[in-house]
Amino acid sequence: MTDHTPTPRSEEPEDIQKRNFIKGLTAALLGFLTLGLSLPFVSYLIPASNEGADRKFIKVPNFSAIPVGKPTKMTFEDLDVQAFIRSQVVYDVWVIKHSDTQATVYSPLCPHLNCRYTFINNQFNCPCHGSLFDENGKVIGGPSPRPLDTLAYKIESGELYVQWKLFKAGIPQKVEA
Amino acid sequence: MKTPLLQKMIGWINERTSLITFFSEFLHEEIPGGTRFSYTLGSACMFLLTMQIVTGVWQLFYYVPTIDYAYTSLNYLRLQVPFGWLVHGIHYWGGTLFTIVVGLHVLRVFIWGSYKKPREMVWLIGIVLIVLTAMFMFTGPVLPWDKNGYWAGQVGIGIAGSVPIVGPMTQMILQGADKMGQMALLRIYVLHVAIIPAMVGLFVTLHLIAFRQFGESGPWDEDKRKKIGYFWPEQIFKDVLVSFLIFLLLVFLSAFFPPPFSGLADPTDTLITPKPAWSFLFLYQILKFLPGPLEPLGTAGVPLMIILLFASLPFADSNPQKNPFKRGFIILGGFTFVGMILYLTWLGYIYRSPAEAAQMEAPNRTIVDLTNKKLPDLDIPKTMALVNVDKKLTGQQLFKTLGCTECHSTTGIAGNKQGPDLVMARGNNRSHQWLSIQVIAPQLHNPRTIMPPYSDLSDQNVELLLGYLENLKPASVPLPPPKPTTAQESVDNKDVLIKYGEQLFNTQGCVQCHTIQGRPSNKSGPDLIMAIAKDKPAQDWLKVQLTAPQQHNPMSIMPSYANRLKDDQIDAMTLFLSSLATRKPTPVTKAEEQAQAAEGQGNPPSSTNGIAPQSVGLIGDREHGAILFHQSCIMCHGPRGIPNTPGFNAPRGVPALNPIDPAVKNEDAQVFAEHVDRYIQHGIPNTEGGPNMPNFGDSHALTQAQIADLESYVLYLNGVDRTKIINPGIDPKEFFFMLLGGTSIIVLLAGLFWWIPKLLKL
Repeated sequence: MTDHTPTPRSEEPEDIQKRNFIKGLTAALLGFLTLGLSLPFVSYLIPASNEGADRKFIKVPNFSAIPVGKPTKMTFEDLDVQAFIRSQVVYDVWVIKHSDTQATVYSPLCPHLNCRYTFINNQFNCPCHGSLFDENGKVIGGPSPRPLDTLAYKIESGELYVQWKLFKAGIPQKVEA
Repeated sequence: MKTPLLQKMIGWINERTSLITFFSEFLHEEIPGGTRFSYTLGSACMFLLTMQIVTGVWQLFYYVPTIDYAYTSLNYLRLQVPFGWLVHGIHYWGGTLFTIVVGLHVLRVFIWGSYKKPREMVWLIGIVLIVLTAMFMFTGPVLPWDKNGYWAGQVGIGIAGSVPIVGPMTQMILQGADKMGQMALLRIYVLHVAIIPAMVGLFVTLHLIAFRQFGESGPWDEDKRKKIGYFWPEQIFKDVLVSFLIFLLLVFLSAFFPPPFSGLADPTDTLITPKPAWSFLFLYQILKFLPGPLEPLGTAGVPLMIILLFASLPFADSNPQKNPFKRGFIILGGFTFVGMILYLTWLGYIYRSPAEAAQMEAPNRTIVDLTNKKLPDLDIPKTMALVNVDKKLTGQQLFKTLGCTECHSTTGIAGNKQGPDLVMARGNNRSHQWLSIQVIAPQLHNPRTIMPPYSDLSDQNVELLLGYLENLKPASVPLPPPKPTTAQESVDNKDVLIKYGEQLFNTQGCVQCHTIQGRPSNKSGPDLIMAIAKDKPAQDWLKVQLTAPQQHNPMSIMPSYANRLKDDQIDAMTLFLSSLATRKPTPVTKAEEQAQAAEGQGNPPSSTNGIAPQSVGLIGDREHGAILFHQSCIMCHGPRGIPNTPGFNAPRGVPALNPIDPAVKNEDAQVFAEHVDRYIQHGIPNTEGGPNMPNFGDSHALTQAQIADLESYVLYLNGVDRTKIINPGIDPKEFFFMLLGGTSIIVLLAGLFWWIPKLLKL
């Protein structure tokens, strides 16, 4: 941008060698700097794995109070922690109590397209597309490709604990989402 | 070495953009007088700016600009995100280094006379950049919303507000509300991450374009200017080398001197000396020299004068002479200016208020720092809002409500309470002023006193309290009435004794735990009208309850009054208590109604939905925690949490905090803090008859930020660091040494490449 003509550079082999050496060293320093920065700055963005969080059993209160043999919709709360945010989440499940130590726990979502179903006339009835299930979760009508999804549970000293999971909708296999 | 294809591609691009021509001209710039390390300051500014932009954007991936999550999200970033310590550390120290390097860059330009014709515009654009840098340095420290940042922001906005004419409007625009809060944080955030960076980008571009017009001004000596150096690769090599060293320095500072954790901002905390960021300390110090009405001169006049002085320099000093040795007057003036700024910064840095100095001198306060106790606080009703709301309380009622009776008696008899009997203390003939300070800031009289400061009291309430204290007379407590001799006299005397018992009830600390109102209260003991009307206990039972309550219930937390009261006093008390069986409940007063309503609203979420109190997620400032410990905990738990040290014996049943019960301790700082938190929030009864642990959280005696500070201190006493990095990626110090190792390898290889060809030639 300056007006005057550029002064030609020295073409002595020694000067060229010196220039190339400086170029190489500059490139090495810049390269190392980039490497030293990119490794931490990329791993900074990789989230910590939260293994074990979805294997947790969450307490469902009032198990002792519900009637035996009758499907009952129950809600329970859990503390959801993501990074620095701790929030209260409410889940619901259908529970059929067989005895004080035996029960069946269904996910409240219809396996067809994840609508929430209800229990009417001794049938589980999904209002979205009319899927029907009997008390054992078996499909007795409508488009659902598989029976109701059961959830793992345990009963300890009279209290019910449920492992909350989501499953892929619309396919015949029960696969975790 | 370019392949024909690559050459073709480059040619194709250049034909359409001339980008290659532009950059090669840029790179092949000639530098009169040869390359120099002193010219690297400008590129060092550019490098630091780039680092600030990258680390700044990277922090936005985690940082949340709300007052409830700003501090927590930043701490999550620093402790739990891999290399979060590095990203934040580089940004924190980068800001500081940027300010210093910009200063050196300006100084270099000043000494070389590079601001002179024809480079005046480069200089003027540079001044805009200095102002923008100052804005960066003001807005940045506010964003963590910690104590330092909050007060720096508060002071800064206050300064802006005191500027004549435009000040109040500027303050409203910055704050976005009538006081410093969420709106202020959001606005300062937008300034820091959007508006100022955009302006800096624009002006840096203008600065560079204007600079390239005439290039480097070179040495002042005409002969030296004849030697020609080149930008690429010679000057760029020096630039890269300096930038690289700055990078190593940034990592070193981040690893070995991490930014402090100053605890969540707490507007109600008066123990902090509000100071601005270090780059504004000189201004803060100037303001101290300017009394009241002259203050706008300092807040608006001084910065404006400095800017004008800088802007007029190329025009005032229009002589083309660049040799600094021939510009003695200007150079001397410049260095005097720099010296003054540095000296004022130093003064501001070491400044301690007299009260703070007194605190620093106090023994067993080795880790205590920063304790500027503000004197009479006129208009901040805070934790004692409930007391201050009701102006109709009498001094005596205040004396009881504030818990003074916990430590002081007013019987005129030396008791076994922690503090002196206040009737007896009247003998000291203290002045009104002395008493007022004793209430508001007792540490000013005796830095080691365990009396808590009642700085939150309104002036009016202090006066009420002093009015009560100054009129205390030994006679105000009735002498025990003569013993009844006959049955008839005994009936007459009964009313007198009941009255006496009631006075004892009100003065002997019973009101700390019991009410006589006929309905449940939130105190730890039962309401006595209800209890006695229900059970109708015999007088003998009451007597045992007073002298040895644990005989009735081994778990009772009620202290024994056997040694505190004489036999006839216990009789009077028993009579008084029995008389409560027929007493009518007192009506609810308006003040109590208000108090209950306020308490209902202020309940922490813990008591309702099971979410842990806010303090659990906060990383407190342990030094501030030490001060709070000294005020609120030391009287029971002992200095540094050690229950039995020379000169101190903890009351019965008070647990040691140093070392703490192994069941409470946990090496995981978060778990440990959660354990300690429960006790501080909700309190716990003392099972051995000593004082109970008060519910500092539920009663709002301490804010959540203060509780977090205390937890950090208690953890620190037990060798657990609340600020330990949980997921560093690579350990900070190891990472620095790895970089250092890599650098050494590059230097070694460079040495080989340089020397081996020479050796082979020989």
